[in-house]
Amino acid sequence: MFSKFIKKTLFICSAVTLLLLAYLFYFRVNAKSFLADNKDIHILICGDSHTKCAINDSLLIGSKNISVGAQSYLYTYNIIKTLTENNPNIDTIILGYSFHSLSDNFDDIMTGPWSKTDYPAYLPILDASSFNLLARDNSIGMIKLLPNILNTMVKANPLKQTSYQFIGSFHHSKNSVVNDSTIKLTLIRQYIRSSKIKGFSSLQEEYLSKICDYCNEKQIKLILLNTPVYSDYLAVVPPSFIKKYYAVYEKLKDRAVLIDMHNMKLPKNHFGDGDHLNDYGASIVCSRLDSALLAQKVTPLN
Amino acid sequence: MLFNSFHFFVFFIVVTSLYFALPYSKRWFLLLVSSCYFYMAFVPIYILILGFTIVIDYFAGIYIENAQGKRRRTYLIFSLIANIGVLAVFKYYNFLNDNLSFLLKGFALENPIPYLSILLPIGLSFHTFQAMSYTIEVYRGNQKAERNFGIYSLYVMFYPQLVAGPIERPQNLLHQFREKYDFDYDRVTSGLRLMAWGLFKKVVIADRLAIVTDTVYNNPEQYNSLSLIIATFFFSFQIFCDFSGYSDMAIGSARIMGFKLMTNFNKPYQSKSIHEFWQRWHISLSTWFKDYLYITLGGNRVSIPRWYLNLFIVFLVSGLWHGANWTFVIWGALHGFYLVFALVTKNYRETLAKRLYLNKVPFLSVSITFILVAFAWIFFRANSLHSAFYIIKHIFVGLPDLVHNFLNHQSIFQNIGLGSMELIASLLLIVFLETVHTIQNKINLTQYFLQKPAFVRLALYCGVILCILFFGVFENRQFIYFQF
Repeated sequence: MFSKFIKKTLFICSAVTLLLLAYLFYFRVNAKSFLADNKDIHILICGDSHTKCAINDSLLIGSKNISVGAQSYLYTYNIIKTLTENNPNIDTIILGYSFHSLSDNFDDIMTGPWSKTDYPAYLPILDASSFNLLARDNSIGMIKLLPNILNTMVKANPLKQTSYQFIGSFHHSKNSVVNDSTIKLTLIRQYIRSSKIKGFSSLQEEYLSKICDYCNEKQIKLILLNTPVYSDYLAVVPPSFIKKYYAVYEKLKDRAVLIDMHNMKLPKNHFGDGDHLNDYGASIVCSRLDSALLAQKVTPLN
Repeated sequence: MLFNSFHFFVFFIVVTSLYFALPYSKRWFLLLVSSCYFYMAFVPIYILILGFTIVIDYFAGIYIENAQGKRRRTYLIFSLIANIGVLAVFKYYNFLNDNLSFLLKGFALENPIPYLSILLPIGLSFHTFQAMSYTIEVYRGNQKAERNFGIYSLYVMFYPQLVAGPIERPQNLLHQFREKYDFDYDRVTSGLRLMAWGLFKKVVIADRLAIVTDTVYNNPEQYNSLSLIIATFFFSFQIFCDFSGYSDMAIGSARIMGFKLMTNFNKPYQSKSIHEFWQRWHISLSTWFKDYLYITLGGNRVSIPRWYLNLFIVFLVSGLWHGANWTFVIWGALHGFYLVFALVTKNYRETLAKRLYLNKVPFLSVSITFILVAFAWIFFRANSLHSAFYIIKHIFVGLPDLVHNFLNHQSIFQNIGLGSMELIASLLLIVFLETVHTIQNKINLTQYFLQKPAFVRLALYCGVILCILFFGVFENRQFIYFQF
């Protein structure tokens, strides 16, 4: 009787697992076809909240901004792989690369409380090595979030881009709250832990390099974009991060072009807060970016 | 540790596996230790309160049995005071203090009694009542005092029913801890099926409906009468699926190990009267109040006015048992009123029903009963009396405007937390639930499916598991009755 019970339980568990894997396969196939039918889009804008707020894709012909706030390069790498696999139209990727991008704050984000919203969005599209990396550090968290992951997958509708949670968009906002308080909060979040300056994330560096290698292999032009930040915020960015930023770029410059706008002089009301632009700032950046891309022979003028 | 959590899933597998692996004589100890762990997963220190009441009642039971005459009563009263005292301090102290402040304010006086900043121990009302039933039954001579402290502790702390019932009787549960239960395929699979059904009701139905209920009831001023009606309707099924789902998981998990717990729900929304509703809803509590309060007050073996008063008192106390808030008291009072009114008008209603042939339409009495119950749920769910009265007023007052807007092709649907597809899905789930209940009135669904070929049964099991995984709402919403 007990062996009969175990056999039936194992059989049911195996059947459920197979069905889940089949659905995962179906989901990944659909995810890969996202944008494939849209021949007009040839520039993908990826990254975190900096590019999410800085580039209004309606002002940049042929572009699509899919940035998501607090997105680490591990996730961005997998998104780029998924969306370009069946889509030869994408010939340029603009990737956010800011001074905070190499902070180990992103490692905390991947395994900490943010995983509750991130795992359901990203886990279904991860490749094996990325998945194993996360599973090594947070396998229990992943198992606990399995129903949330499945919930998110079942809600994804191939006909409705916003239903894929790993696909972001430009953030429209005309607000401006630039003050010492917001700058301080951002500084603590990105660079400070227990009153000490945070370290650098080897994972961010590794996956940034992987993105460069992938784009190089696929002959996709990769443009790293350092978005404008407000002067008061720039003044408090730890010098070690700025030094690290350019040191890492030195290793990547044979595979990626850097458009460095961090020093761009913009009025205070063009910033949403110390390190994010609003609609006004984004329109200026887009026109400058357009010229820069033209110089890179990427896109015609608007 | 919620029943719908990963933590419980692992706990349950480990405990059940060890249970069957251990020799019979050691199993009660395993269950006691795991029940302690289960309880301490909520707020560890509160196990001391549980321990306190267990010690009091254990010795009270022995002393009651050994004593003679008035002394027996003294020990019983001491035990009851200790249990009710714990309830009073942890559950009702601040509520009573609030009301005292309100009264003193009327005389322009300050309340000198401080408030206590304490969390309500989880399941306090449940295990307190279960413990009281033990000492009362020993006093009545229906139960021998349990001499094994560990077994008695397990009776109070048995984890499947520790925090939200069913509230068991010692005659039913105590002896079971000494029985020898072997692994039985049919019993174990029956228990697992019941747990799966309970989990489905909780995470797929209840927690989905809760999104709408919470959205509307937390800000009723933002919503029109249609939204208020939908939220109230949804809450009626949310609380049923939440509580009966928990009960099913409790009964199912106990059944797997061989223990029989009492049925707590029996298709309550198929009731044709409020009296019948209380025979089908939270059966363990309603029978507890009947056996230990209603009958003690005299039941119906008194004058008619006194009988009605007894009923009203029982439901007032039942309302207060649910929570330290006037909304619960009014909810209980409403049900008391419904019952008394039904008794007073029984003959008139039966005559009228016969004359108009309404007794040939059972759906009518089922619908009326549901509407009365749903109306009372407004008080149960509302965050305050003000909120409850606001909702009641605007459900009715807003209806003419709603009809007018609808006839003028204006939108009457508001954003109440779920998209249109999910709202329709929620309605279909409710229809599915009641359809299952209706079918269960005619055939034994379990037996029906057990007779089907193996591949059909396995497909159904896989389907239920996948539904729970894909469509369940896993935001770790606590079971509603945990707060009692």
